Amino acid sequence: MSKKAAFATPDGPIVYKKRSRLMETWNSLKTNPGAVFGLIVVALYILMMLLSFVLYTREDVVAINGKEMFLRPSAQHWFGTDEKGRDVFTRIMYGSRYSLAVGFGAVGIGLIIGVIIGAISGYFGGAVDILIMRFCDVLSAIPGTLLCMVLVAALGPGLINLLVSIGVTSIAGYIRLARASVLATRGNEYVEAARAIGMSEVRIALTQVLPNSLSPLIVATSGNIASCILSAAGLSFLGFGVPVPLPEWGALVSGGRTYMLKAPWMTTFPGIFIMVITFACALLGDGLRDALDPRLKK
Amino acid sequence: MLRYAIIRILWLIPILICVTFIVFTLVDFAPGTVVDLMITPSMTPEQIDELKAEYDLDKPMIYRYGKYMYNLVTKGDLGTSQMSKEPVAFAFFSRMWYSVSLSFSGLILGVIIAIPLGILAAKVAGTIWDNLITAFTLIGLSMPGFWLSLMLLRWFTFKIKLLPSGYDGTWQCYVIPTVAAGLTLSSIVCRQTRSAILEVSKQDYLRTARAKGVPERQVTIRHKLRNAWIPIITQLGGLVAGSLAGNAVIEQIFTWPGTGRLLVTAINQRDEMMTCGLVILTATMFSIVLLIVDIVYALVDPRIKSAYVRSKKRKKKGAAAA
Repeated sequence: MSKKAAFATPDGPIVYKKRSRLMETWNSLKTNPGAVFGLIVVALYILMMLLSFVLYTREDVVAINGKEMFLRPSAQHWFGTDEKGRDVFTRIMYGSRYSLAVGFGAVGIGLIIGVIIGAISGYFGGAVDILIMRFCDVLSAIPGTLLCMVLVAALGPGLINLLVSIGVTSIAGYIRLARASVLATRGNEYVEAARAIGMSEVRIALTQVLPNSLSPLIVATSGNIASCILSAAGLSFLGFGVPVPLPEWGALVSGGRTYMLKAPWMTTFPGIFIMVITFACALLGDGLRDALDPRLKK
Repeated sequence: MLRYAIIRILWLIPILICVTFIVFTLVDFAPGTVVDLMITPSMTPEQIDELKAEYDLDKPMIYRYGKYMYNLVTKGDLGTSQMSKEPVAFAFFSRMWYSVSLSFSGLILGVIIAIPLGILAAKVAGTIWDNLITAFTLIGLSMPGFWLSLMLLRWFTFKIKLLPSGYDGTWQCYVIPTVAAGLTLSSIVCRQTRSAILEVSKQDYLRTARAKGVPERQVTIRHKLRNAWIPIITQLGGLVAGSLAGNAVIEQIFTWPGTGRLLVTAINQRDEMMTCGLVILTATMFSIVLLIVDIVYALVDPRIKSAYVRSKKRKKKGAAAA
């Protein structure tokens, strides 16, 4: 499709520049203070993660320092120290990579696999569609939390396994969403037009149907990042996540539990970090929904 | 209508059979077996093999699955825990009440907060109050339940010693877990209520009702709320079903004698029979609750009902014409 459309009038042609979908979304997002706030916070977290790669090594967050146990928050140790004398602020900064990796990675896995299967199901229909939908029914008959726990138990602890488990749990939802969206798009006239000019089915699916059915998926994705971060923290809290000396935020909260009276900062701060990133992702998700949902457009 | 219900109920059987297969495979695939924790350094290799044979670990997975399903179908037996030697079904049903009562108290608290707040937010949509309520619900959504529990424990149990720190059978021990479970839930329901009412508010039949002179109070109660209820109830059904299993973390913190904590313990002890049975039983309960919600939904919503009846009549007409 061309970016410009020209109409001849007596005063010469009027050229309309077609605004791209991306710019339109961005313009709408810019005027939404909540979404801007969310975007800034997510950017700050990513910056924090990048900084932690430069500033700290694995040794810094795992090494035991017997002289500085349970120090209160001070200028030297912003968030205090834990039961092994490790700086809580350093550990939280280092831990940002786990939460962000799980949040984005799990959603990525769910989205990519879900969209491919869902698009196949919606586009081709027939026996494939029935088979895939029944598979979804089976997957969603097991409550998400339980499926996650069993998957982590089956794969063993570790960041990648945690990420895969949470991703796989969300696949059924994505398949359904992608299928519904593709089904709705498939009936449009421009798809018929593409078929009339002799485009191959695969090309129609990839260039016409898929790009036009992405909006609901993007909205669901941004909301899902928040819930993935939360479930990762919950699983780590239960001890099913990243192995112990590594400072995943949920594991940090869990580790501080025993010393809640002596050193409340050990549980308070990691929890606040989880909450703020989830809050920011949720705000951003709401903003994207407002920008992309055609029903909400004025 | 009856046909729809029966088809849905029958569909549940193959789905649950697939669930047993997936869960059994996953649990079986998990690294380590229950035997690993029983082996002592003084055991001879023969004794270890004997122990393994006792749990059929020397045979292929499909044999164990077949045996499991045979016992399940013919005797309704889900096996016994490999650690505590307790029958799995008994363990589940004796603890289910505690999980369900926690879920329901959370649900009731959530609904009491959420529905009026959602209605209010929809009424003042676009104002500062609406934004405040939205912010509150977003905070509720993003607060990890386990962290909130710990913070409440710190203040109300350790600082002012008002509430117990774990399950002790009194009503006071329900307070903190209920708040922790209910807050997230209320945020979800509140958002749903707000958007459902806003969606309904755009409909033409409200204008018609106003035009024919129905008082505003009646419009809200009879036309707005009645129609907005349907998506809210659907979501509540999903949440009830989900919370039957979803409170594992909160149960763990408060040493709640529920099924969630039982499952966490079973997974940690590599108690395969227990893990498998608990997940299957919970999934069954979950599916049944969702099914009931679906059927009730079809009964309550006149649009679904009429669509179903009409298509049936149309089919009959088509058949007659042919």
